Amino acid sequence: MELSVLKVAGTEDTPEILFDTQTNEYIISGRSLPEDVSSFYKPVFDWLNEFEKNITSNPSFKFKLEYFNTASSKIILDILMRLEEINNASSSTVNIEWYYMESDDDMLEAGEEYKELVEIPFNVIAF
Amino acid sequence: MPAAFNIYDLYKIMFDNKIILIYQGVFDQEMIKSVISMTEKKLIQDNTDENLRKKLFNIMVEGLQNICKHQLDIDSTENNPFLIISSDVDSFDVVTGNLIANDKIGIVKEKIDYVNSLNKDELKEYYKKARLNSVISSVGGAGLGFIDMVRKSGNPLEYKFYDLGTDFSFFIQKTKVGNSN
Repeated sequence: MELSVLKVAGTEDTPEILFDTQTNEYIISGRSLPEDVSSFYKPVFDWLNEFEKNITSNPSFKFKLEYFNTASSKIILDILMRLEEINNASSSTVNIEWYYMESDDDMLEAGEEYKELVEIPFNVIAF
Repeated sequence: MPAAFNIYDLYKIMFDNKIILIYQGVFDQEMIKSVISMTEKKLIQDNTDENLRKKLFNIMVEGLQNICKHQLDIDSTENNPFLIISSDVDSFDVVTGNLIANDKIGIVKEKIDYVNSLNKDELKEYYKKARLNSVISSVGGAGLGFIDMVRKSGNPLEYKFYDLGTDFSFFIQKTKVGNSN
């Protein structure tokens, strides 16, 4: 089965999502404070289920978030844990790149906290 | 508005208390987006420090979404939730109020008192643990709002419950967001 591209345009309260196996780009960026996090992020988990069966290259999942609320913080942890599972089950290596704005200590700390919680190659990168 | 109401008095109260925004009425996602974007624009205009702006944004989202998710569906036009933001030189006060059932007061008080009692490192550990164990509720919350508000603001949460003489009280909560921490 061909894995489709997951592309969600960003809004003022939801992030832009682009997961594309053709270009090998996987990025979540922007702000995340949706009213209903579970339904907003459901397509991500559905896509990851398919991705797990089709994984070929060594993908890098980039998180480039400017802000997220506490409910999103829980969902992001769930996504990272799902990626950890995929990494463990696959011969490919799944990498995480967590970006934070140089001046944003809270986003740096958030990245470091996630890094401690999942066993997966995890880089915290300033931009 | 009653004719006897003096608009200037309200303005004076706002001015003297450095209130930049008062809102009372429906709290929903659209309202939250509007209020936040309006506040952000004002802060950018005023050249407010970016980190302070982000922290204020953070506290507002958590506080307002808390109300949005927990506001009581009572068929009444009285006791609407409200939001008041006031600004000082290097800090902002975010004050919210909403109705709460009296039998829920104990649990809210216990939650806030607990997070207020923790130091920075304890808060970090508690947040990590709570997030790991949390489950997104039917109203879409993770139960992490108060912890996050104390962590991001660096200040304890102030609160008060006003007895309305019914089964409900008014829950007033204030968070100071300062630049010094």
